[in-house]
Amino acid sequence: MARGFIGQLRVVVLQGWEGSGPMRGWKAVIGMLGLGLMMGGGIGFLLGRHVWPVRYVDVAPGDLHPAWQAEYVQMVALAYTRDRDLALARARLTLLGDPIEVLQGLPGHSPAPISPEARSAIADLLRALRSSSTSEPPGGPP
Amino acid sequence: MKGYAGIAFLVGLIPGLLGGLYLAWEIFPPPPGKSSPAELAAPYQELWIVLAAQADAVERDPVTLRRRLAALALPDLPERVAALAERGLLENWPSGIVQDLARAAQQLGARSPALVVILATPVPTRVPPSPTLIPTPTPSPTVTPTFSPSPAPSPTQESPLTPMSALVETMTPTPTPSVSQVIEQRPLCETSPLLRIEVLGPDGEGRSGVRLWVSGPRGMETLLTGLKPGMGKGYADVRMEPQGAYRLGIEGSEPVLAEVSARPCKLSEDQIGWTGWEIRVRLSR
Repeated sequence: MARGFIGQLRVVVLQGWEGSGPMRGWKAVIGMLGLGLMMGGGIGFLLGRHVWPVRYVDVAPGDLHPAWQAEYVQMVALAYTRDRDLALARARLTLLGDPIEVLQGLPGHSPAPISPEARSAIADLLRALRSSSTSEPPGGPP
Repeated sequence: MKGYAGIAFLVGLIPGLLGGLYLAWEIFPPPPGKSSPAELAAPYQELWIVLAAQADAVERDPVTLRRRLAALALPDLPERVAALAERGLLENWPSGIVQDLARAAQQLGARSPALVVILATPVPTRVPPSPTLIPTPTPSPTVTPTFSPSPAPSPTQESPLTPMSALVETMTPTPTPSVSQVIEQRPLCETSPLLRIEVLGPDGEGRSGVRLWVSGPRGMETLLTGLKPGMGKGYADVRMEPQGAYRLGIEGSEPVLAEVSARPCKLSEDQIGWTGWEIRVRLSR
């Protein structure tokens, strides 16, 4: 009994894929459905990536484009020139990573030319950070 | 069957589109790290503005300042920078930062009396206030935060309703051995009491840009005269809490100039109000 049913189903499926009888039309319908799904998926993915891409909001400075991160670092260094608050400058740079590494890597990341004032401020801040880090006792807080 | 095939294509296309969008947005979103300053969280946007203003004070390059601030894509940028300067002033940020912000706001085209006051005020050396000058707020034991005026005052109320004339008569100005002195102190009966201060120079003209401190139930507040130009150059005010006791002084090295409190008073026959105050202070220099 069961063998008979499976046999009949096999015939129907084979007929559909081989294109004989009314099953030929169903094959086309299923094919078009699959084609629509694949094309829709591809178009949707491209739209979602390039036309309406995900927009991150409420981000931190660490999520900025490298060019804007470079701008941020320059501004922190210039602000340090103004207020001479090393702890504050360090805290601001920590938002991007290790302050000394961030400052050292700046020339490679900045697409725009760095002003002489900013260049001097960066060198000044780098010097201050290095001297403060060497004067700190090894170990640090637990 | 041909028609069915077209319908089937459309039936597949729509969920496919949705699925593709879902994949692009939720499953495989682009990694963060390509954001612009416009996408920064609000506190970081404010930090960006402060940094841009401070950097401009060193670089003096208006083009760079505009480029950096324009990246925030704020529709009301000059006003936002000016508002930040005013906030800094009221929250006692270092004067240098407040002035940098005010200068940046002016460069962007913002115009406000507060900016004029900030830029005209010389940057003082910040001296920590003496503990004797800034008293610890001592809230009155009869403070009732949820007060609702009733026609019949409670018999346990400490201060009975006093006619305004009596208030004026019994009011004695605080002795002022300092250089500045209170020349007039007048109560006003009102529903929402205000402490209004007018600071005059030695010539009797209103003096803007004078920092005052007011200590009351809400703690210490700093006021700056001249931020409400319609009220006069030397004017500043603060809202008073009903039953609250307030002390007023000029920021710097001067003692308490006046002590007032918002006491119940008769606003009309059947309505209770609270005494607000008008205080005029004359500076010696």
